[in-house]
Amino acid sequence: MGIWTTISGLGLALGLRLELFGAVLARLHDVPRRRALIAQELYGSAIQTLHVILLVGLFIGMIVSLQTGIELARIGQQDQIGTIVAVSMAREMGPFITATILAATVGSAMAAEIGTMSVSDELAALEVLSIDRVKLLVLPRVVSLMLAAPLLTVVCDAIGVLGGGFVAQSQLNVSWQLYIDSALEALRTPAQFLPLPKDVWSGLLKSVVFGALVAVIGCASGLQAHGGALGVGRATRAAVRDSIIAIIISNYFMTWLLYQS
Amino acid sequence: MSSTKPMEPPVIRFEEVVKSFGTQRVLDGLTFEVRRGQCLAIMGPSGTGKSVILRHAVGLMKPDAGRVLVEGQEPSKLKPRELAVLRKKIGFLFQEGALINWLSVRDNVALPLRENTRLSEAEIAAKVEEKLDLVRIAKQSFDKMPSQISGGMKKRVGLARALVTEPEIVLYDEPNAGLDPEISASINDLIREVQVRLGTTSIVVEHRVACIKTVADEVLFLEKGRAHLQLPPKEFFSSSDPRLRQFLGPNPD
Repeated sequence: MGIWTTISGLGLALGLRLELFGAVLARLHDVPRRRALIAQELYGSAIQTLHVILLVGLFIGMIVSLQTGIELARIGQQDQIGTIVAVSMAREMGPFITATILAATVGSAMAAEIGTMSVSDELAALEVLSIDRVKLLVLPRVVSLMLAAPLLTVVCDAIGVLGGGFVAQSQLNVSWQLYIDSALEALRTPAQFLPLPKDVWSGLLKSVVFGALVAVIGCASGLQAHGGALGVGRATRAAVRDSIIAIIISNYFMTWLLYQS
Repeated sequence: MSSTKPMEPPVIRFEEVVKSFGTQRVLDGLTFEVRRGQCLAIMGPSGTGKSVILRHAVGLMKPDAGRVLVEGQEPSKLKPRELAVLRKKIGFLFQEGALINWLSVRDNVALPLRENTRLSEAEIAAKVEEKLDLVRIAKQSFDKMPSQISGGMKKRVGLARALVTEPEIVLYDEPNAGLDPEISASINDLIREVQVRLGTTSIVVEHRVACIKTVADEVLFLEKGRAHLQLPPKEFFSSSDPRLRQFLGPNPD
């Protein structure tokens, strides 16, 4: 009984999130009318998390460089550090770290804001006023995070590569020039139909999907909140937990689609 | 108040409505009606489903059994578009005002017009100003955020928002809750003024006797999910019904 309740609960939650995402897609034509709200949300999500992305991205690049550099140095291949840091940041670490930070900061804030509106009758008021809450509350948040995530991913990638270079030069005796050359060379793998290198655009594509997932899950959790402050807390926790799970699972499938096939 | 209009047809009608939450039956065969232009006050002990009645009337809740009819239609059985049309005829003042916390006073009142009409910004501004004047909000407060205004002001702004689409029916959920006697009196006068000036049909869920005496044409006393008593205010407050006397206490005012 307990297992079935859990499974049916998960199915219901997934169904509600998919339904909300479908509702957002059906209202994309309303984006121009919501540009002021989208800009406001974009500012909130991008500018206000930039310092976190810079700090975390810098140290992630340093960790990747140090971990791989120590092993590569044992076999005399430390010249390849730039390649490994650049590829791992662009393909995986940049989009994943950015999305995780967005889930913890912006996604949780979305769930808390909308959840508070739910428990204080603001959502009921919108419903009584026949105001489409998907257009007013969800669409601007989803679009803004789909724009913010790739922008922040580029920042995270760049600062990560710089951090890796700092470690390579100071701790692994790899010259700055050699590090940068190998990093840029690694990212020159030509793409078939885009002017960007494949590792860069595939990472950006992932980040757009992650942005949509974080926003939809955050908004859906908020819309389902009930039961006062406790309910808002539950919604916020669910938003972060479900976003990170969704990011990891979708990351695997996107990697498989983009690289395995 | 004695302006009841017995000849007017019912605008809102509850027929044997049943509603339960878990094992608790809140409404248990509730039947009553509100005629056009009438103001019905609903009174009763806490937890007897007074606010639930209002939520049924706007289709926020569905009855487990029985029928809720508003303008001859059942909100719970309407398609979303039909429900939206019906809701445009209804204004709802929530207990705390339910203002959108990231919009200013002015934008809160303008919201239903911006979202649901093709009016120009100038036309919207004129209507918003008119309704904010009606509820006596000073111009210098128009650009304040909900967090910067008092509880009484929030309710008045909530009422202006409820009225801006010029509804035929206005539902008030405890308009005096949490307000001091002076502000309560001004809200009660406002409710009466709205009813007289705009000719709305109203339901007011309220505990305070002073409010009911000011605004109501009839009072419905709710007990155990049913309509226990429905009388004009004068007869209601002089009734010797033992349950009502027990509820009102020795000093009803």
